[in-house]
Amino acid sequence: MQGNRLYEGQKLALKYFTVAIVLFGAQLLFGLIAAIQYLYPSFLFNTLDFSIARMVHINALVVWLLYAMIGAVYWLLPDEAGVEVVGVKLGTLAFYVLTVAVAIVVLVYIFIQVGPGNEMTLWFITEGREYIEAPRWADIGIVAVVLVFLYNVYATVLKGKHSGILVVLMADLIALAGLYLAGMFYTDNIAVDQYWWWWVVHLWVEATWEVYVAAVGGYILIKTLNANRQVVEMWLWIEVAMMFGSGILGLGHHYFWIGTPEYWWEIGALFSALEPVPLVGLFVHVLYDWGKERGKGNNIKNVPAFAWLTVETFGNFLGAGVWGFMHTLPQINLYTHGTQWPAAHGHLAFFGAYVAIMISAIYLGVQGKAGFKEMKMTKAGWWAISLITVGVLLMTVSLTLSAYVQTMVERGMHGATWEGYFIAQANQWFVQGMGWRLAAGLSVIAGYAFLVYDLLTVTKKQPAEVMEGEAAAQAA
Amino acid sequence: MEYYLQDIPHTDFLHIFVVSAMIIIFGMGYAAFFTVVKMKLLNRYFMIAAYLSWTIQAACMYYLGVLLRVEPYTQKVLIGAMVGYLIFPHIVYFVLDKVHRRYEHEAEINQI
Repeated sequence: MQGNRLYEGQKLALKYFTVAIVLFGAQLLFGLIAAIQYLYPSFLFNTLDFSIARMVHINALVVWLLYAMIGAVYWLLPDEAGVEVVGVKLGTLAFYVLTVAVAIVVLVYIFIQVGPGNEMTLWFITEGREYIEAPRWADIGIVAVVLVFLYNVYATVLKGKHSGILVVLMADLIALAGLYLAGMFYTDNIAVDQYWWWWVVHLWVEATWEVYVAAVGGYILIKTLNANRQVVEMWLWIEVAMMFGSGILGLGHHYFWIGTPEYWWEIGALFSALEPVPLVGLFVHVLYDWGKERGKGNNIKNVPAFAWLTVETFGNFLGAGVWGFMHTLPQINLYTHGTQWPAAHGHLAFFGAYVAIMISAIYLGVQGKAGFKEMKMTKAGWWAISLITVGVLLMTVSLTLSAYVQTMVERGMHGATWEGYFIAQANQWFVQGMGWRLAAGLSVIAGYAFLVYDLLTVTKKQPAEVMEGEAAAQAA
Repeated sequence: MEYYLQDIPHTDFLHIFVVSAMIIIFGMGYAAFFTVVKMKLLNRYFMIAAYLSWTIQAACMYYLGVLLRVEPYTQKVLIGAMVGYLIFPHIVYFVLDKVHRRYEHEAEINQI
């Protein structure tokens, strides 16, 4: 950002952020539909079945996070490199191609839903692989768009300054883009197929995305708290060392039923529990440094972004760390696999690790667009962060209670039989947990409404001293 | 090395989930007390609370191993992880201290 003037790359970032927030709404809406269908199975039966609502819910999550991630990189890239993004026009073209492709895929999911089990379905409707269901034409399109994005990042950094944050991002984005290829081919053997599918799903989420959020989190800490760059970069390298270690070795905790030696399960469980440690370390360290200098004019430069980053740090620890460890050890996972335990862990971990930090990055974009040097939290902003965070925590606890009943009744008492499955589903404690999950979902939806309102109005509702300060700065 | 997981009685499930959550929470307690004492925000005697948290965490880990009926190899891995966790904050603090000394020293040189 040059004064109040944005780089072209940052204007492109704002486009990505806008689509991301819209898709976030779609994710919540379809999650709500799926939650209702859990309690009332006839709801939208044969119109929008549970399998489709769940698929759109999950895919919208993955895609909006990718949009926000690309947007955040385009936002920080020219700022860190000190030069305009190379190939902005190409990047803009890629943005529109991706958005049209996503719109077509979503419409096909909603209106066509299923096809015959042949190549046509794989190419044009859905690949049917959880989390990465996009049809093959869209897969190829995603790879093309990501290649444009990678070119822009590399060409810009090579032309400008090479900060530690950018170097980590460059290495990480290669892995993030390359791993997607592992989910684009089929093998006849389902165990081998699952093995490669995990390479995308796990290594994306638990290695490349974690390193990515650490880099973006470091940048946000520099922007909001004026964090020392050397401290941030030192933690980033610890993150890289641990994340690629813990991310890759942590992969082992998924290797059930595919014939790998059992020691992989133990190794996977222990290393995956270590993943959130560096991010918490970075945050605490920077906060401590900031606290030492507090009261000397070093105000938080963007309170909403900082608040969401705080939620991210501790949400990541609780969701990925505590809830992850509670069900990831193989001796436990043998019973909890496929129950509501992974759902409880997944909701809090995704929210804590990725959703909150992307909202934080979007607030940074809103501040930059308005050209404010400082931005305070509004009432709507507080309602948004409170309703969404409390809603997700309540959702996690509700799912955990249902999961406990489900695991004990279905797996422990009835030996994972179909009969056990249905007995557990009908258990009153299980059903009550699902009811509370739905109530929590409504809280999140209400929080989303406040969030959208706040993003649109936050710069107009800044306190008088911030507005006056900006006017004085501009006059000078 | 091949072995097979032992069946776990369903009456142990609740203990397993609670004790595994305790491992992370006391682990956080160890890291938190250690950090706060090193930051000099708390008296250094509170380091006792840090090591007490680690001890409870290690005991919880041992109890979890018992509940899960783990094999000898896993027992060694779990205990190794606890010893590693005991050492880890000391290494991190050492690295942080080095970094601070370096950049604060650089800042002094720049001021001169």
